[in-house]
Amino acid sequence: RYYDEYKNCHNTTLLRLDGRQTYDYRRIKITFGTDFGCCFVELGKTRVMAQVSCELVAPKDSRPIEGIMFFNIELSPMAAPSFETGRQSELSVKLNRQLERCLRNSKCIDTESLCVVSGEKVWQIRVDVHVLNHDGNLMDASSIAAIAALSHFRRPDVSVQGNDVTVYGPEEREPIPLSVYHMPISISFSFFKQGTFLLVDPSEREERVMDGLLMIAMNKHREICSIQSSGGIMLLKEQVMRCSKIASVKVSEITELINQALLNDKMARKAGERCGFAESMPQERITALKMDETPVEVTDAAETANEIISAAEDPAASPVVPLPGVGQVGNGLKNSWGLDEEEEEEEEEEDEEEDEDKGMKTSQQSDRSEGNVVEISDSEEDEVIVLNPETSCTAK
Amino acid sequence: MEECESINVCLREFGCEQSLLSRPDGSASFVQGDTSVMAGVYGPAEVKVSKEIYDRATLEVLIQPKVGLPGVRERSQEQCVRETCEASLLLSLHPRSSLTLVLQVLHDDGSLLSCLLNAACMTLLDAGLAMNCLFCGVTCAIDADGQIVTDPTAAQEKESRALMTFAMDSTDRKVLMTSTKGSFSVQEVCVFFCFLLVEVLSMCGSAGGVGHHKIKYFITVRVYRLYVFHSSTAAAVYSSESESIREDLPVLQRLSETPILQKPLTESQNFPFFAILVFYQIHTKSYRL
Repeated sequence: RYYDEYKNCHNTTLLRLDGRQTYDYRRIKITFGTDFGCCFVELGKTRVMAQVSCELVAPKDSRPIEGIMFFNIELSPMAAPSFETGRQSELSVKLNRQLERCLRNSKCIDTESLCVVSGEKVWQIRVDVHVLNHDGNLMDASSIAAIAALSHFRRPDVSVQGNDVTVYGPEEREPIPLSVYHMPISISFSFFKQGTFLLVDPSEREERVMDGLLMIAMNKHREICSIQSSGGIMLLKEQVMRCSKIASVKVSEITELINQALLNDKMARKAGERCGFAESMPQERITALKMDETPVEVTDAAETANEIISAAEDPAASPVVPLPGVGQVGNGLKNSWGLDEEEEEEEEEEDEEEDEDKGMKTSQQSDRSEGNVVEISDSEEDEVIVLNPETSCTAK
Repeated sequence: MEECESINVCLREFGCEQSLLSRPDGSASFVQGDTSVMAGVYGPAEVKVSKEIYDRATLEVLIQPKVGLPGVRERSQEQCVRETCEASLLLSLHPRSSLTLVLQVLHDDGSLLSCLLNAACMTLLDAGLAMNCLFCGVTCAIDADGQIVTDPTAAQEKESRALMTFAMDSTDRKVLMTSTKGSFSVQEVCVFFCFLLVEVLSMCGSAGGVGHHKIKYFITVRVYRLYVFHSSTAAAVYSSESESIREDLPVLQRLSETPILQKPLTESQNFPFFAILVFYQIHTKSYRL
């Protein structure tokens, strides 16, 4: 609808809503977080965050010498009002599947180097991608974030002596980066009007009105890792070839950008600067504010505190622990429910039985404070002897 | 009665950015040292019939951890944040509506719950939801020696024997929510409170106060630009805050040139802004810092 309206306004020239050309990407910004393996990507207004973590697990039976890669794209409810937690929506399944095909099936990470003890312990690398803001083209942003985070990640060093595996912390030994063979990046093409018009990197509004989507995952060596066409549009061979040529150009640009970001981050860490989301917050914006470390004046805090305590009422009596696991606070209160005398007596007896077992008693029972069980039943069973715990029946 | 020494406590450097996400109605990111949290809120929006409350809005809080799926710890944090927000939001203005607040942990380096609370407050402010007070969260830890450490890092939290998070409101400086872990004595709690009163002043004053002054600037400027021709309404609104507006006006002139404020506002957005401003100005009286 938006596209048609726009097109009708400009009959001769076809423009995109944000003024881009057909093959233009939006501005891509890649920043890294404080710990290794955390990457934020902004593709225009679309924001995603990827975090890589690792864990030692038992390998799959079918592949005992390979590590495990696990991908998960979370469509956070923050990203769009239609995203809900829990329910695996169609879009979520589609994105997860595409990311898996793009990264796992292309074997971009050397999984054999993740093996620690063959058949018993391997590293499981888990990539969590959180979508923070949905303004179109989640797939591309997620793939850039995932591969950048994987390239940034460092896993702990391990050493194996016989059957003992020692995992060293980051202070003991330098963590080791993963071996990344190549960087597959997905490029999305959206088609309109049965394949006559093509747009690269659709924004959210363009995605709503497109007929179909072609996703090509490629690396900078011009190898296609995955192609996916959805939406049911019929594409000609020439169109697909043309798209792959465009994709190879874009992929080389984006790979260059990722490498540059990784290099900047490496130099910053080497120079000892602080890295992370906190640092990448823009300062010159009106919507941002940062305050330095502020000392707090607490010179008279202790006196004020002591004044408050002395002025306060005495708190309730401290709990008494007559038995391990049993606490008693106070003496209990008089039953004020206004029941008849007999019922009260019966209830008190029953209560007392329970209370004796639990070690609590009401003040009315002070005269019955021997701790004996009162028999009130006239059953014909043998006398039941209940072993009493030794309770201290002194009232406080 | 044990006496706690008065030590020089300080807060890590903190920062906040608002309106950084385009889809949510209000969004903010809050950073305390290295702990960073991003939050977004949608609302008031349509609510499912099963969750609707007849006389007020239904607030739902979702906390997403960085790695893995949300678990029990996130649920308890959600409850803390939700109760604090419910105490400070005017929910009865939006009956049968839903407010969804989503918090994403970006990095956890200690004092996470207080960072979540602060991000929640800034997000609700950014969305323009009517509140009767601002709130802020502060975390304190008592280490093994009995020293009190405010705004602890993850390493300090690990070594501490007690960890306490308080949410306090900005008007009466009362406690809205407490979350504690570990063992500590009554005296230590009192000392904490006194420390925190002072901390709240600095935190609320700086993040909330300056943040909210900046918000006041741009909401005022937006209305100013929209309603400069509606001089009667403008006067009615401004008269309630005349002193502050007079000194703000030169700033407003400058701010109206900034790019962020030249976003075109559609017809339907005019009224909510005016309504928000009216509420905001009324409430500013109660939480002027």
